[in-house]
Amino acid sequence: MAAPLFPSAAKCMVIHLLDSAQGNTLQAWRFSNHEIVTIGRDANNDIVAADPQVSRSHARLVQQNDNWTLFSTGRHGTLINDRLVTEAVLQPQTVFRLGASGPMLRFDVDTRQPHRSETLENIDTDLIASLAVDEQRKQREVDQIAENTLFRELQERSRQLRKSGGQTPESS
Amino acid sequence: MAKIISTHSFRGGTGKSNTTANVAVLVARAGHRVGVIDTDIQSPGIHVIFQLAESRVERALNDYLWGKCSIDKAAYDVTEASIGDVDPDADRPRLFLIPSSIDVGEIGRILKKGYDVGKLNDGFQRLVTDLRLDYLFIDTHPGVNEETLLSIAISDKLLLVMRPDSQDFQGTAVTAELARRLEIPEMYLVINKVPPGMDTAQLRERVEATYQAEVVAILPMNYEIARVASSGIFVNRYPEHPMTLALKQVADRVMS
Repeated sequence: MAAPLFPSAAKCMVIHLLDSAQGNTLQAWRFSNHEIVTIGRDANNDIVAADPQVSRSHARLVQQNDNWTLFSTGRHGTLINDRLVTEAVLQPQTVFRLGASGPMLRFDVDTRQPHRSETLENIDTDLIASLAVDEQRKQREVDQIAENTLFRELQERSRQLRKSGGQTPESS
Repeated sequence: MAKIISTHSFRGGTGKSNTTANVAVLVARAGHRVGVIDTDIQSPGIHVIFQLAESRVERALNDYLWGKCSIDKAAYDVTEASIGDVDPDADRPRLFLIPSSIDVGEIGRILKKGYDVGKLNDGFQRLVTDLRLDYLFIDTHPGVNEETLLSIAISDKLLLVMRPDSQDFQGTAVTAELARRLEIPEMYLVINKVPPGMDTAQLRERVEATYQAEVVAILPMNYEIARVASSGIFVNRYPEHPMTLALKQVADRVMS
């Protein structure tokens, strides 16, 4: 029996959806305590990818002996390093593509301990609370622009336009 | 009377051009004559979304601004590519695109010498008249500059596209305040690239309270649109997608 590649993290797996041009993460799914993760177009999959290249049931990731193995079941196949695979043990950072020109995904592991009970933990719940406007700074920046002669001219032009009922004014 | 709609974002990468292109297609599909002008002269890109081949672009907005041609000579009928099978003689729907030049020399020239923003305003007016437009969409350059402020000053409606992050939150607040001082009649917010699972009701409430403007759509972080972005119109490819339905809400508000 092969030794686990990453024993402490084998039960916390992350799949990143990548921007095919830049390779940046567009979306991520984190799975804790999952033994099978399914990928496909059908809404019942764990990862749903609504793309013509993706089959309803396209691939299964199965945890075996603390490693994750990819089984490709889709009509358009799954590619790793531009080669079609039907079965492959995934190393951390492995990138695979669903279909020849379908979405690109990266398999990864996370050694952090899960801090919540949910299996999907890709949400920064504090983000909304951190969204705020620094009113003083805003006012300073607005005033800087609004005091400019050009802005005053535009204000005047805008007033004339609104008064005239929306006829676009000719430039001065 | 034609309506002029500016779409703007504080930073690049918000999905502004994609939003503009898709909403413009939806408005045209509703049976209108629509123009889309790419005033993002420093970093043009909306022509790619409309699949307007660079080899087809003989004249661009830049040529008009340098006095080399009239503005209508830089307008391309992209109805067939963006809407589909429309009788070539049909008056409506029609969709025209006025691209900016992608020539690096041209972009450099604009950056170095600037251009007469007043001439841009004349161009908007001429487009509306010459192409008999019902709607003109102005895809602006991110950030606040002379051209952006002019676009807002002459617009009937302003769509501010933002992402739910701190930088966009602050920058958009400045733009929104400037737009108010320019007495923009209607201003709407589109929140784009919202991470999955974020509480959208809470997000909407916070944004509307901050900007005192309606959030007309909340669009999720969407990999399909990222994939389609460089090669076509999302609402055509995924007509039933929730993202398309949200963009229809924006189009409805534009036409209301």
